[in-house]
Amino acid sequence: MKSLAKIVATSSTALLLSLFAAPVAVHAADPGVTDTSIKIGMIGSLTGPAAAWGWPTINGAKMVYDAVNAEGGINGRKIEVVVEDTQCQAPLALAAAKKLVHRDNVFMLHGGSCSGEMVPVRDQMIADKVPTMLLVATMDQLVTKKPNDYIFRAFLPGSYDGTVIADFLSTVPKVKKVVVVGHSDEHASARYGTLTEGLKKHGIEMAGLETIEVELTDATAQILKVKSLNPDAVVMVARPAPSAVFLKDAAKLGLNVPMVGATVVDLQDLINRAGGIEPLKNTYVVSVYKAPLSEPAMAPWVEMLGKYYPKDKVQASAFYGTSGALAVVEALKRAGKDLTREKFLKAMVDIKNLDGGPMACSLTYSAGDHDGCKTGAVWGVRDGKIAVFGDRWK
Amino acid sequence: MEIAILLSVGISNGCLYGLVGLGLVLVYNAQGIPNFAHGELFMAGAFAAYTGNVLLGLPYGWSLLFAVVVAGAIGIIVELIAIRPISMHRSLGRASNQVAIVLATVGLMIVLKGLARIPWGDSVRNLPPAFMTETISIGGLYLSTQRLLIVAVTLVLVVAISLFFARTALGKTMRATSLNITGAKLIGINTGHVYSATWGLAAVCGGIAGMLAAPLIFVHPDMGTRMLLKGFAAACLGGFGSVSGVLVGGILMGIAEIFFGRYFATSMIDIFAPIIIIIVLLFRPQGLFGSRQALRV
Repeated sequence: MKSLAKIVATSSTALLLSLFAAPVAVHAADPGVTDTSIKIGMIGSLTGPAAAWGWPTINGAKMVYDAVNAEGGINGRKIEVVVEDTQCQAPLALAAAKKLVHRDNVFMLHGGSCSGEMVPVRDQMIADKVPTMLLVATMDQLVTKKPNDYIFRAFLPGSYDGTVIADFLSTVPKVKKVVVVGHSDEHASARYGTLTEGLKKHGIEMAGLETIEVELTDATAQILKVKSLNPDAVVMVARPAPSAVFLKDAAKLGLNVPMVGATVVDLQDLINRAGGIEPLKNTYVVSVYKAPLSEPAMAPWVEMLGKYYPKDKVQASAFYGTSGALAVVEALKRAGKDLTREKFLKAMVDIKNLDGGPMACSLTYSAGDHDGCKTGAVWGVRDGKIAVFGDRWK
Repeated sequence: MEIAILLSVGISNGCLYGLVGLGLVLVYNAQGIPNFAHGELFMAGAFAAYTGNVLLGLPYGWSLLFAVVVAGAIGIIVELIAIRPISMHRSLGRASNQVAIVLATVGLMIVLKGLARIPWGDSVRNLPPAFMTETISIGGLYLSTQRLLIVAVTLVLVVAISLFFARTALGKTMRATSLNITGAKLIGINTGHVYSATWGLAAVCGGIAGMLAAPLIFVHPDMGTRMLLKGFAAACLGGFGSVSGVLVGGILMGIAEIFFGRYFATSMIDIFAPIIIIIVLLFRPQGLFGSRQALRV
C-alpha cells in the first residue's frame, strides 16, 4: 500500500510538473524552429505544363539557404527546406501548403510558381498566421488585396511591367501611337491596366489590342492587322514561345517598328528562340535583372548556382526566387536568437534598401507595403549584343 | 499582296492540319476510333528530327528519314503493346472494346508527353528550317521556303498514300479490313499486321507533320495538343472517309481561320477549329467529301 501511495504521489508530481513544463516548451519558439534548425516550406510547379517555373526558381532560392547553411546558419540554426509540388494548380497548392504548415510544422512558406495557385494559399496562410514570401507569383492582388501582416514579395509585381514599358516608350523618339499584342489570360491582363494608364499619362495613343494565344504557331494575321494600324511601336505581353513566333514573322513581313516586351520574356532567350539576333535588332524587353546573365554583375549568382546545383541550366528563370530568399535570410538574422513569427514579421517590414541580389531593384518594405521590389531595367540590342538601357531609351 | 500572303500561309498551315488529320483518318477507318495520342506522334516526329539534325548533325533529308522511322516505330510499338491487347480482349463487346481503346489513347497521350519530358524537360528547342534561304520572292511576294516545303511534301504524301491504297497489296488488305473485319479474317488476312501497319503509317503522317512544323513553332513536349484539335477539325470538315478530302478540309480551315483572324478578330483564330467541328457534326456529320453510310438490316 505504501509503495502504491508512493507511485501515485510520484506520478502526480510528474504529471503536475509536465503540465507546467509543457507550455513553456511550446511557447519557447514557434513551429519549425528548434535550437539547431529553421524549417521553411517551399511550393512550386515541379511537374506539369508550368514545370519550367518550378525547380529552376526554387533552386535559385534554395541556393541562398544552402550558402547560409555552409557559413554556419543563422544564429546557430541551419535552414531546413521541405519542398512540395503544386503543378500550378490551386487545389494542389492549397493541399501542399496545408501539409507543410500543419503536418511538417514549417516556420514559414516560401513559394508560388503561378499567381492562380497562390490565391487560396494566400488566404489560408493569413488565416493560419504563417509568414509567406511569394516565389515568382506576380499578381498584384496577392499582396495588395486586404492588407495583412503575412504576405510578402521580392519580385517585380505584374502591373509594374506596364508602368515601366509606358515610361520607356515615352522616351523613344517619335512614338505617338502603339499597338499592344498579348495574351488574353490573367497573367497578361494584370499588365494592361497600368500600361493603358501609363500610355495615357504620356500622351501616347493605344491604337489596338491584338490577341495572340500561348500556343501560337503563326502570327501572320496579327502582324498584318498591326501593320494596318500603322503604329510607331508595338508592346508585346506574351510568353517566350509566341513572342519568338511573332518576332520572326514580323521580321519576314516587314514590321520594323520598335517592339517592347514585358518581363514575361527574357531577351537572350528570345534571341535563342528566334534563331539569331537579326529579328530582334529593334526589340526591347523589361527585365527584372540588373544585367544579362553573362555580365560580371551576375557572376556571383551564376557561380552560386553552379556550386549548389551544378546540373541546373543557367537560364532566365534561374534567379527569379533569389531575391525572396535574400529578404527572408535578412529578416531571420534581424529577428535574433529568440526567433518567433512575430519577430520575423517585424524584421521584414523594417527592411529598407536591401540589395536585391541579381534583381535590378533594391528591397524596401513597410507595415503598409509588402511589395519590396518595384523597378526593372529595360534591355535592348545594340551593336549586335544585349545592352542594359535602364528606364530610358538611349 | 496582303491577300496573297494570307493565302500562302493559310494553305501551308492547312496542309499541316491535313497531314495530322490524315493520320487520324487512317486509324479511324481501320478501328473506328479517334486516336487522342496522335498529337504526341506529331511531337515525337519533331523531337526525332531535332535529335537527328541538331544533336547528331545529320543533313535535313536524313533527319526526315530518321523522323519517319522513329515515328513509324513508335506507332507500331504503341499498337502492339497498348492497342492490340485491348482489341483482342474477347470478354468485351465491340462497343466496349472501342471505348476501352479510346480511353487507352487518352492514357497514351499523357504517357507519351510525360516520357518526352524525362529527357527533354519543358524547354523549348529550335529546329532550323530545311533551307538556308528562309524566304524567296515570287513576283514581289515573299514566300517562306519552309512553308513551300510543307505544301510540296504534303501533296506528295497524299498522292503516295492514295496510290498505296489503290495499287499495293497491303493497301488493299487495309481497305478490306476496314470495310469488313470478319470477312477479312475469313479470307486469311492477318488483321493484327494490318492494324500495326495502319498505326505505323498514321504515325509517319503525324511525324512528318511534326518535323515540317517544328522550325515554325518550336519543339516542346506540349506542341502536339493544339495540332491534334486542328487535325480533328480538318478530318471532320473533309470527312473521315476520304484521304484527299482531309487535305482539302485542312486547307479550307487554314485559309478560313487566317482570313477570319485578319479581318474579323485575332482572338477568334484559336476557337475556329472547335467551332468547325461542332458545325460540321451538326449539319453534315459525314464531312464535305464523305458519304453517308447505309446499314442493311
